[in-house]
Amino acid sequence: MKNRIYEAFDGIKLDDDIKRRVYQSTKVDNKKRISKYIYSTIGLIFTVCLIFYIIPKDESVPKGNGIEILSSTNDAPNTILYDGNIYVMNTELDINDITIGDKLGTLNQAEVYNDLAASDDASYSDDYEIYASSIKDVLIVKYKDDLIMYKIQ
Amino acid sequence: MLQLEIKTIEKIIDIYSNMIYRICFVYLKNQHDAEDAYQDVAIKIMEKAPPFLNDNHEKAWIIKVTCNHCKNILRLSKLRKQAPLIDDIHAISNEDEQNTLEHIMNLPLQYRKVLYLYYYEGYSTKEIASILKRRDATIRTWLKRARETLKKIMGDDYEK
Repeated sequence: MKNRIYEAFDGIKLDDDIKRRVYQSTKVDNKKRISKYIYSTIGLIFTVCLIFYIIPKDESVPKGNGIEILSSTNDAPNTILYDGNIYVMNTELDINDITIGDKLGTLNQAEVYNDLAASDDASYSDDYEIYASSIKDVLIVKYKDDLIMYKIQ
Repeated sequence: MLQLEIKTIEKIIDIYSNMIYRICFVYLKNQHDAEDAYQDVAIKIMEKAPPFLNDNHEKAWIIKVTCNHCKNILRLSKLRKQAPLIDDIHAISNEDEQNTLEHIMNLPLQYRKVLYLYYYEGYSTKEIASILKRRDATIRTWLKRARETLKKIMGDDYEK
């Protein structure tokens, strides 16, 4: 009887067409999976780009290289004009409390004024490097080995 | 998302297609419903199969998924008040086999299940108990009653 039960169950066989159909659907599903992967990757890249575009830019430090020195002591100017703002040398802040940020530019042939009002009294100076800082409205100017802080006026 | 690689899926379908279909047939007693259920189970395996520890784990998992799917179909058909039809199995050409299968299919579901898993898949009553989440004693009782009922239905044929 054991064999008869076995043989009876053995007679139940799946139609090859149905098996083939399922094979096909695995391939279709695989294609779907690949296209899903591509679409989700594109979506992710788009979302990341959108976030970077929307995210508010850090406005605490002015950026750009339109830097002009308006007046100067012998080695470092006490006033600089940067991005339309006037910065004055600041000695109240401690340089150790400030984190120096990205380099914003180099003052090649910067205009140096002895008198802010007399614009024709200009001279030229090189080697001033401007850095952003961790404090709002404060820029760091590096001249040779000195770091000088400038605060917006 | 598909969890298994396409080659693994093809391997599983290749090895277990007939087993899945037979279980579906044992549950649903109907060729067309069994074919539909087979396709659903195959898709379920593609989508949800976890990484298997070994071949036994793989087979037991597939049996369990198939049984659960068929149970759901039966529950839904009960809700819809549709009685499953008993179909001829066209693939069986041998009359003896056809008769035996018809007698088996007239047994209650729990008897059909244990007969299939015990006599065809070669599982022990302990293993069947673990797959069907029943006590070993229950499975042994079902098996005994299935044999007795079959003997009663088939009469002299049972001894042949």
